[in-house]
Amino acid sequence: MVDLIRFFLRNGALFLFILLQSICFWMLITFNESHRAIFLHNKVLVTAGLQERIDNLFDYWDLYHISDSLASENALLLEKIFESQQKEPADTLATIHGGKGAYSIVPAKVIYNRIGGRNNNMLINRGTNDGVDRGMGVIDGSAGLVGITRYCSANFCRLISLLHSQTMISARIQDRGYFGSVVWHSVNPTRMNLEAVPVHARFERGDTVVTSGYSTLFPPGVEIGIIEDFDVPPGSNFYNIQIRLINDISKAKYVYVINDLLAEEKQSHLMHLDDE
Amino acid sequence: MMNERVRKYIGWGVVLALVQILVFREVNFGWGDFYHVHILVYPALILVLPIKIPRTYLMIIGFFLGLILDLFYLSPGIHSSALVFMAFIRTLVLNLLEPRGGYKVNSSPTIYHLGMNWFLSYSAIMIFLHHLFYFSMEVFTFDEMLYIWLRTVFSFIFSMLFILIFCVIFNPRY
Repeated sequence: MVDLIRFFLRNGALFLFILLQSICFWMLITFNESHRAIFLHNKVLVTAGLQERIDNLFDYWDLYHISDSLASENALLLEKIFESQQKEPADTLATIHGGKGAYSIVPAKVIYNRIGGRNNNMLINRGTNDGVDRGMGVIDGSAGLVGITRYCSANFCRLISLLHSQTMISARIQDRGYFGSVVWHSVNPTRMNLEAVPVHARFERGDTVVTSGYSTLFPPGVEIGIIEDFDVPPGSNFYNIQIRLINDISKAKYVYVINDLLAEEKQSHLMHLDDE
Repeated sequence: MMNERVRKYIGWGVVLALVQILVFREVNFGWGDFYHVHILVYPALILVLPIKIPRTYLMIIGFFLGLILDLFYLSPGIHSSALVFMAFIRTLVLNLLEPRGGYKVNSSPTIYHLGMNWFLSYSAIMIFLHHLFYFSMEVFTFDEMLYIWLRTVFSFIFSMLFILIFCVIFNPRY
């Protein structure tokens, strides 16, 4: 027994090293495992308030661009209002679902954003109190996607950025119908890859890639990017397509969280697809 | 005397963490398709702490400094893990670089005590290993070795630059 204690004392540094590293590993693993979000959940609460203050400090420098983009966003929205006024009300989803609409949109502000890492996260100032919850898509004000919500506390929500190794978004090549998944392989925050498009597909450089709407994250037809380059890797049956993102994620400031009101119903069907 | 010293180290820790969070976290550095520069200055604290400080204390300091940075980077475990690793290997690096007469009892591994040349090789080894460990933890898979090495090498160059500037400006005397 004495020998054992002496052994631990003599190698104390090594044991402490192993202990601390295991704590770090545990944190890393829980972070990657989506169900055990306890640590992150608390963490969001601890630093979010401070984070918001830091962000407010930097806000002043961005004011010019923000007011600019707000104006153009408003213009866009006005356009849509005019457009919808001219349409027949019967063909909108709103009337089908008891006037509630299929999506509810929550505007939010990005208070932390980083694009430098391999797995980038963001923080927005909306949480469960505002109806934002896990697994909702987030789009940029003017165009393009931003990320997907992961861990939400009452007033804040952490997103995985589009620039994350776990991102996978169902997408379609506009006007051509072929669909695949958009993933982020590169280190370049302005490029992503479209995968799983079969080799018989025909498309050109400059075609637009939009969301397919096959998941509950994003409605169909939201623009993601433009095809810049493509090739077929040797021995593969699928294209490797590089797309240029339509928006600059590093500048995402005012974003909209998309809450698919029919998500649960859709998901229950998607889950049973595998059974048959 | 001791109190003043401790206060000074805490002050440096706060300054380094603040500079990292407020300045270098916001810097996204790159040319065209090249986005591999990622400046980390806070490991400078582990570099300049006194030689006689026990390894276990050093690791605990590293762990908590890393934890604070992790909170702000939203990256649990990555910064703390890399700093604990750096604190662990510091003794080995110090033994490796021990000058002929040994270290003075109350000195720190700084430019003031051991000269620019010695400090350059010491900090280069430490920062390089820290960055290698940090980016390996960040990627967490060995599938992307090229990415890890590119990040490590290019970030290392810029981090070293800023850490040297920090050490020359503050020039820790203790």
